[in-house]
Amino acid sequence: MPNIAIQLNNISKKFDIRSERMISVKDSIYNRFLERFKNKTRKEFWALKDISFEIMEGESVGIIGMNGAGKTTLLKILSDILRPTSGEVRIRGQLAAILEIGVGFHQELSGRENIFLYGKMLGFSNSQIRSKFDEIVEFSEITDFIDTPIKHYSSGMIMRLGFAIIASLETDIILLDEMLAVGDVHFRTKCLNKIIEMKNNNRTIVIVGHDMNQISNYCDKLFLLDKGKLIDSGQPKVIINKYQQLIINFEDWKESRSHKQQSFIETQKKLKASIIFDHRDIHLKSASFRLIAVDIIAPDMINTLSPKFLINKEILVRIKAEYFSGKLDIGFIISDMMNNRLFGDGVFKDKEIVLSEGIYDFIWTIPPNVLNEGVFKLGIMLLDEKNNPVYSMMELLTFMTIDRKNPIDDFGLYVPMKPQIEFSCKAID
Amino acid sequence: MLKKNVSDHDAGVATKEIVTISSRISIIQYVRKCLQYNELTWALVKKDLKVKYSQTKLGLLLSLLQPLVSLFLFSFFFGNLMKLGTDGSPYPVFVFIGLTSWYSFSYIVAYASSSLIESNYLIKKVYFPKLILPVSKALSSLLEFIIWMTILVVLMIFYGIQPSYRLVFFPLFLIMNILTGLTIGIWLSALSFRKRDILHIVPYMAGLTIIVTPVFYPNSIIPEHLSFLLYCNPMAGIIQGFRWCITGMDPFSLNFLPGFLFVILLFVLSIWYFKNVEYKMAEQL
Repeated sequence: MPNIAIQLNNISKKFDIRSERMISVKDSIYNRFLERFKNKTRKEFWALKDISFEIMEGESVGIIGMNGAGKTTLLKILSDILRPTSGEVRIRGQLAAILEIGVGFHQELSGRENIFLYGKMLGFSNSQIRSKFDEIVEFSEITDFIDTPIKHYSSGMIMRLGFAIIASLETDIILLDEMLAVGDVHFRTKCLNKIIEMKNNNRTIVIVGHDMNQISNYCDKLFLLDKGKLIDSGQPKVIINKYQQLIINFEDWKESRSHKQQSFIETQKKLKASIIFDHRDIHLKSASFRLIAVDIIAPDMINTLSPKFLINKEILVRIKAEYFSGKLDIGFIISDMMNNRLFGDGVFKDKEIVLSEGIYDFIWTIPPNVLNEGVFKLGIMLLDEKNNPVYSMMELLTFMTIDRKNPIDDFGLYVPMKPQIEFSCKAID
Repeated sequence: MLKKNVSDHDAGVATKEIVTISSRISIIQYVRKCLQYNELTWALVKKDLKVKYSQTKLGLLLSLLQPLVSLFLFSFFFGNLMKLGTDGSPYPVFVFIGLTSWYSFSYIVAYASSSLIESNYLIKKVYFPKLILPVSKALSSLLEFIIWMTILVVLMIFYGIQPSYRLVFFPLFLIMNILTGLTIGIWLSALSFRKRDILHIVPYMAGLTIIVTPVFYPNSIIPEHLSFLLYCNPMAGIIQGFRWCITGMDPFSLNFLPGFLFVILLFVLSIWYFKNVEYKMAEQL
């Protein structure tokens, strides 16, 4: 039975919006004077409300949520930068947090001095840092520049150094604010491997971020925050699915503007399986085609136009367009909620067809058991002769797929596709 | 390999400390926490000194020049031209001890009070007890004090002044000197977060208060019926104390002691206040 590494009991955090501003002595006296008469009330904002959870030792946990959900506030409370308004946090063991890489560094000091300075800021002793010094330098790949003031470093070098310090100094708990999205591919892979290594060494890891893709790679468990409340926690796959739905049902998109003011892009964020284009919409017209309508349909419910589809049934993509002449292609592309492009096709692509002028319905059939349960986007592209997009709209339609079977047969990781894979096993000897 | 790690880990479990973060913390806990970060304090001192003296090649030369120039100007104008007397020691020694103590005090106030604003990027992103920031600034300004003191030693050799046995009290006055500066510095830095314009008046106040402190004039020119005002000023007592213990030629009055005790009380209060507003700092940036 592992120990509890982090325990949160009913954490709430209130921000006083008015006191956020920096006020001068004169202003504050003036305000106090005014308040007597105006009876002004302070605006309160609860960034976190009554959050309780436990993180076990050796667990790696992700905290996700939309902007303003309270993720960073929570991280700051865990790393003791902010005090909770009420509630209590218990932390077992030493904890290090990176909210931003390179923040404790001083430009005038050399890499070597900064390692010691930053290490001490994280609460390490001189001897601890010295014993890990070589490892840090090696990991950050700055051996030749270790005695140069870091004002001469490139931003990549500073980032590497910052991550190397955190990763090499062995704290029991490590808190990361999505920072791994930076750096070149080589270093990102290195960071990722290091995180997995830390995980295997039974260090507790807490990562905060939006990038579900990245987070689901190394988290055993996710916590979903929304508007300061803990909505759910559990396996990454389940939580990511929930998060996707949360994004789609985001009320503000529906309510914030009147219908007329809603911009074209914003209307697409909701689940939507069909769209009809205006005559005047000049963008959606190339030399060969004029788009009239796009919809996604399931063969057995052609008229309902529900944006929800079963994963074990065919899904049809239908583009209604007027053809003029030429071979400038029109195509669609399916991407998942994290904007990973999955697949797509065009009218002329790899096909030998001849069209005469007129209005057509182009229908593509996505075979059953391709997409996994989740939220997907359909985009439309108009291409030129060289198949380069001249116009593309990546989030034209948004639809959802549902797995009627209980999805426990998946791994904990979220995967956008779920083809039926043949399986066999043979005993050898 | 992995197994070994796990067993190592299990061995370490018993020693792991459980830290509780809640909305209240006592002043003793806070001070203890600050003391745990003593290595960071010294690292920050080292950083300050390094930054200060590496950016300018002239750094060290200037910090020698400054006391020498003030020594010359003060002795010439106040000693030779205005003929302000002393309580016993030769005027240049007398005024230089006063200046050393005074400048050390005003540096500490100036650096400590702006230390938080200066490092606001740290406060938002890294946790450590923020009290370390003004304290490390105060400690790093001690280097200047040492430079001034070496000049004083030269000056005393020149005038042939033997230090008295009272030199054993020197550390006491030095600590009081730092404490007085730090107390004001901590108060100002903690207040500067809400009202940033407080920092603008610091140089002005430093310029004014040198007049009401017996730096370049002896205590004896203050009339008897006003001397209680002098005893209210802890800096007057500290400067007088330095003179008393270094040269042994100037008197020291025990009437200064209540002022010293008051400073110590204010110092404890300043830590208490600082502790209470510490977490608001990260919010108010």
